[in-house]
Amino acid sequence: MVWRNKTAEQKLYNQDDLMLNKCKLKIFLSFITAFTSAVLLLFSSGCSSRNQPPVISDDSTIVYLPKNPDDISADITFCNRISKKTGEPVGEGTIFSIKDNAKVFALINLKNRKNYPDNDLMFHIDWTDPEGNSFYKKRIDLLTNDSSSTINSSISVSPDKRKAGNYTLRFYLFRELIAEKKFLLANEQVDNRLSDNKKTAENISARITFCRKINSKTGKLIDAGKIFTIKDKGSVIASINLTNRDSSINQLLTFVADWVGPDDSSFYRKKINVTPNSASFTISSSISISPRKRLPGNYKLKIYMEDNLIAEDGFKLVNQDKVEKNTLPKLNKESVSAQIIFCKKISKKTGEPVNIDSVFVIKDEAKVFTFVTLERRDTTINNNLKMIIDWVGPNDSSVYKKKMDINLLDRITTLTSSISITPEKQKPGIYFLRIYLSKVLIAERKFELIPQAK
Amino acid sequence: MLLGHSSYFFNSIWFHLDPADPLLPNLEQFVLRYIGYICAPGFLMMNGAMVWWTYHSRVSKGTKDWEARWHLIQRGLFLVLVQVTWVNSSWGGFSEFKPGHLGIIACIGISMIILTLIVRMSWQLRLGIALAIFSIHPFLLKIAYNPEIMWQQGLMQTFVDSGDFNKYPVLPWFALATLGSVMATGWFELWKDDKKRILYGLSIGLISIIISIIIRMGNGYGNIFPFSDFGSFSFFLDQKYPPSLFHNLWFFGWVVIGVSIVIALNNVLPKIIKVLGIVGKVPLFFYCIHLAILGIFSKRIGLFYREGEIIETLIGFAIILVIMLPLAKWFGGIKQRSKNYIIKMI
Repeated sequence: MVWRNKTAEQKLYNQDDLMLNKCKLKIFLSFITAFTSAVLLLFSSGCSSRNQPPVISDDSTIVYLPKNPDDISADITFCNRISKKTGEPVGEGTIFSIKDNAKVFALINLKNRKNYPDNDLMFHIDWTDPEGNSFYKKRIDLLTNDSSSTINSSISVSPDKRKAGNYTLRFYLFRELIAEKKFLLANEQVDNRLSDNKKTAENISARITFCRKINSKTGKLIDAGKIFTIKDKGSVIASINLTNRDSSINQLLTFVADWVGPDDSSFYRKKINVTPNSASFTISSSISISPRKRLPGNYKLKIYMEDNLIAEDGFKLVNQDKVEKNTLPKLNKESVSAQIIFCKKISKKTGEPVNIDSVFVIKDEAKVFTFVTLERRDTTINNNLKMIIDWVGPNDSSVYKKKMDINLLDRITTLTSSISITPEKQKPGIYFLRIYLSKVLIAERKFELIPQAK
Repeated sequence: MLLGHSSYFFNSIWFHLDPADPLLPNLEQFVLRYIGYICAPGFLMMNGAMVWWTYHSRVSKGTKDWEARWHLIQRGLFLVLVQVTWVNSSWGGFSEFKPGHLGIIACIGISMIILTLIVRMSWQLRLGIALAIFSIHPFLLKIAYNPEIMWQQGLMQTFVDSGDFNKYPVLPWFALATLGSVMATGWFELWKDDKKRILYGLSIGLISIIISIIIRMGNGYGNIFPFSDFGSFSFFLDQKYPPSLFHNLWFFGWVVIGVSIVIALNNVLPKIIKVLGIVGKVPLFFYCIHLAILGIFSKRIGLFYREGEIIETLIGFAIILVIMLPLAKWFGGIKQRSKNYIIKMI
């Protein structure tokens, strides 16, 4: 380079050179800064149109939402086939069988397509196998005269082409990932023994609770029970709590709530699609119980998952006038049994009683805890019940009374209560704990408080 | 280049990334991929500049015209040989001998041979040839051929199109090499001081980039892949295999600007250029050895092969650089002292 080939004469002017170099350095650094800033600005501001990290939609599509909410986004549905008549997916799911002549279809629904009527849009669908290798890629251009808002693609899942494992479909708009979703391919041999749906169904347990209303804010069931009065604008809501013991809980599950009348025939079926976001989740279904629609009698609700009955429970509809007179269950000692345990504390970790005893020493900061186990023997007793836990002292007067509303939804229900047994509050003697349910004494047990040895 | 290769071996995106039709999940992966796009234009242009400079330098020292050309032709043939013997197999860690296809090193070699034939022409004529090829190439891409028929595949993919046989067809890349030789005329002959080199370089680079943007925004001739908006992923990612006219002009501009920066840097921070010079003196050695190391240890032995993403790619890049810099310096010394024909070629 000419610049570096300085002559001996030039070297005499080192000071000038230094000044010149400093000046050039400034110019050069300014140029580099401006250049780098321009490049970074271009890349950071305009390059990516999507937000990171992605969000997971209700149907378990991983969606990279657009920075501009009016831009296009997509959700993906997998199915066994697409109805030629309706264009709707048939056999939706995320688990499919590998078998001859079978296919998996992906139906991609575009949101905000209408915002781009005058633009050609370039999409790519990329199917990847369990190792992450792309095995089928398809480019789809939606031209300006094409107002389609759905795109579909399919792959063969015959045994000679696919192996079992987790597959992914990625969906790109102008080369940028906007949505992806996984699905599982299982071997047909497995299916022959036990269908995927049945396998899933076996892993699902369901508990049905009937109630009159559900608090929209808290989700709490109001007037839960098994006997309901037929009245105008009345309804029975079934809250179905489902627990999935399988790890693959992020798949789309389809349930059917089948309401069966007193004549044992189905009068209302509701399909419920849900992609659970945790191992325990709740779905609901409701029916009107106005006099014009329902007759008194015993009703049933059956919950199916993909044709497998997973839960069933009944309830009774009665006419208003009969309710008060005849149908309220008579609660007595046989309706509910209670087992009372006294202890020094309740484990915070396990909720179990610790240091069970019936004699306790009165001392500072001491307490007596009770651990009550209620067993429902009469299945009709599960309405909102008034319960009283009454701690009674040696002179037969109440030391502490705890009132609560209780729903005996499960056969076994446990609850706890405690009193302080400091020298200031309690005296030595025999104490009782009495449990009342709707003013009926259902259990009592005594314990003794003794003074601290000097 | 090293960053791109590190990504190829350590970045899991390459399980599904098709370089001919790239789809990218996020900005980081886009930047990582796009940085590598400038390598091939840079290689070809520097190769063209080197051909021009070597030829004229030798001739000015008294070497006969065809003797100087023959030297360059031999070097071109040597590069083709290196491609089919070493480079092709090194991607897989030499688990398989794969002489059956070409690649970028062969493309450089063939371009070098062809450029030798026009190296004495005036810069205006060479510029005209390069621009003519650029202009005609989009039409040549429309020639239908059957890649299943070997001679059609061989002919088309050696010179015009990209495919399994060759991702770097000679025509568009030779045009870039020719532009490199044109720029060399400026850098080494016409522009007498660095101020002019930098100024003219920046101006030419900028003009080329502006023209490329105009072509891209026109969304017609010179474009191959469509794009959504200016500055989006798709705007930058026009077709590379083979390159579109936009791609060629865009990267020609950036390479010229890059050279101007290097010239400026050489004046103010010469030590940095010395470090770059370690690799610059033995580029073929660097290319062949780092690829072999990555191929053997990552692909063949399975060391972190496509197990990571961005961070792992950068770590791999740093490790290979630490290994390769001393090796390149060592081999640079050997090459300087050696009179062995093969070593001189590497």
